[in-house]
Amino acid sequence: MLVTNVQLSDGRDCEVRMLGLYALDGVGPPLPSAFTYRFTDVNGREITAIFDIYAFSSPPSRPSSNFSEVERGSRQWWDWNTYTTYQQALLHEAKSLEQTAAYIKEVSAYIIREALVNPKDKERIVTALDNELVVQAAIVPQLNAQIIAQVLKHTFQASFDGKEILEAIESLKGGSSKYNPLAVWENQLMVTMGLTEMEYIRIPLLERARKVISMKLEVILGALEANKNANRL
Amino acid sequence: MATKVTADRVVLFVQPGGFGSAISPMSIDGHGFTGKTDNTIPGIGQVFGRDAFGRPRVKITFPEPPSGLNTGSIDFERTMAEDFMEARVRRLDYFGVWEFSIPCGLLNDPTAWLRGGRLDYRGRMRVTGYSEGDAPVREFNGQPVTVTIPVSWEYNITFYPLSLTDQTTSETQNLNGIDGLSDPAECVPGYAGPNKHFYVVANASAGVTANVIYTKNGGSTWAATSADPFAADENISDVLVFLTGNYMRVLVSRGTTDASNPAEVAYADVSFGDEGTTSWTNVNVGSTNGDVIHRLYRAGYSRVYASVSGDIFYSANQGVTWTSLMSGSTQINAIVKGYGQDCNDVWFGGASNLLLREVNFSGVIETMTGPSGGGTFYSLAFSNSGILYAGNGSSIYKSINNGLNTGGWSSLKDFGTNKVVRNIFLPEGDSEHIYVTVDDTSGSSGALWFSNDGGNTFNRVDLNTNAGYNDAYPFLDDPNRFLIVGDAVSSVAQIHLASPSETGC
Repeated sequence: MLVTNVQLSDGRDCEVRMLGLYALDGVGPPLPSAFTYRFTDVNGREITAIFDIYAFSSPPSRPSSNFSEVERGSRQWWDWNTYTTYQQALLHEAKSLEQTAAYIKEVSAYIIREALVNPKDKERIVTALDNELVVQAAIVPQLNAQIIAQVLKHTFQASFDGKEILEAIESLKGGSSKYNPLAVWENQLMVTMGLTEMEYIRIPLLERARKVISMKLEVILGALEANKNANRL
Repeated sequence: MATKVTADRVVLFVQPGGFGSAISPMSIDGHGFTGKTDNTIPGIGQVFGRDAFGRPRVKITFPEPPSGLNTGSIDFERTMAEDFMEARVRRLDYFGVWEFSIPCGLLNDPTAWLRGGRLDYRGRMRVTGYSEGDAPVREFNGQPVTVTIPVSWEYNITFYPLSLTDQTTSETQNLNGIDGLSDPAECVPGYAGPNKHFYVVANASAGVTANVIYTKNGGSTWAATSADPFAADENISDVLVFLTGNYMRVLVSRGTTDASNPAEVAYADVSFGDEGTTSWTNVNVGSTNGDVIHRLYRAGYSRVYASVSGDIFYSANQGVTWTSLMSGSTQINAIVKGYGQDCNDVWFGGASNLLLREVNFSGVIETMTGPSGGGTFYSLAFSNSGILYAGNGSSIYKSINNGLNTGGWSSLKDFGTNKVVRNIFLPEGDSEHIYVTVDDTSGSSGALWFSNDGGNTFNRVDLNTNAGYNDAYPFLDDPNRFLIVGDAVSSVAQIHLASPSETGC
């Protein structure tokens, strides 16, 4: 078990154990998704699109026309659609912020409960900084696309047809399956190295990134080459 | 500051019901439009010579012919049902593609671009190929089958949301007509190019001659010309402006009855650099005392028409002399030539549903058929596809068969009582984009209306309060600019500029 000491606001150390790589999976309520709306396109396909309230510099005004009197498909009709959708999206955003706050609160409470070596140290976590220090010490740093891109560029000097690898990967046409590739790759790496999760998380983040990339780079480049040859044909 | 266009906020719309029908989104992630290239822009060629030191120098530059049309590819993921694009391959018909850039709002809203977005319209498009993705394949593969369809189209027109702003002038009377110099002639000394020189004609105040006002900077400043063309209390009804040799000819018509004289025009040949100095030559049009001219129209470099009470006259020498084409008793308010350089038919519209056509500049006048209940026509226009548009005292109509019968006519929009359709403009002559200036003869504000779906729906540019519009001029190389003139408000003549709006999301 990896334990770190953090100094709290009372000037004394507090022992915090690092939680597992996927310890927070399933903790807390599900995070809200973006507000979406649906419409049918010219080919009869149902399209789902995200309505972004932050694209508006100011909220759309309530139309002055009477909705029951406007002609369907007219600009006034669409102004009403936009206004009402905005209101719905605004309400969704307000609820999302509440849900996100609840999630953070629950995750934070879980961490305090599970990560403190001495449960009585819970009474010493007083300030927001105390809370943040404990949470940071408890959570395993997560691999993300930015770190992968940074390592690809600086450590491996990797690119494909002049593009960054992650940018080139976006051109690959995917199928219908969905998963988190970084999570899968890290698990594959753990299996290859014969490590448990608790042993694996001791490896610094950048080193984990380098190991994942060195394991997968040839496979990625192979897929990109195959895709390029298929397009050429 | 203008908002950046990002690919995720661009949506393609098409017309599944054909030209003039409602437009519909063509998905937001199932279709892509790539490789767009405009090959219609002429290149520049050059001939090199040598200078005194033997070094190469450019002796002559000249425009080279364009290499082709606009080209690109529309690709999409094939589904079990026929895609709109696959139907185009089957029919090989022309269609348009609306490319809306929508900074905020609903992506399926065909009016959302009016909040600071833009519309890039691809006109007269046809498919030029068809390429299917691989399927079936030997390996287990759940990838979508991508279809790529090369397309080619004749022109692009970019539209922006418009707003109306006042142009400042010291003129105090109603303004009746406007025209501007749009000739592209680059070899005329002092001519700075189209859309800079405009002349506007006014009513006469009591006991005073009517003014002609002008601008040489696209409308930023206006002034009256040095001399007025007609006598005191005589209004000026219309104006034409065009190049004649190295001069600019301003041709105006008298709109007030003179019981002792026939209808009358006056022209002045103005020098570039001295646009305000006018020396008028007055010419009678016809010989019937008391006649007035309602409309002037230029159908070619030298050919000009005048509607004179119920008669039609034409000039073959830019207004110097006039010949009778037709005698009649019904007032004619609108004149237009068929679309394109190859068409020399000229159309006339007037009171009592009157619709006439002169075939091929021949002098032969045919009576055509207006819409049922057409009333008095005030405006006419043609699209590049041969659709005829007519505006009367309340509505805009279109005919799909050149006014052959009433059945070919349909009403596009009824603007209401007292709403006279003064002008109809179609950028690039495309039938999908219709801009209309509408007067209000009761004294309320005139308006600029527009449709971007062939008249299926109309929207109005936000009003700039006025007392009615009488005429308008479209900037011929810029579909987003119009100058509109109208009745005076509190003794201030109204000139409004319609131009791209700064407001948005």
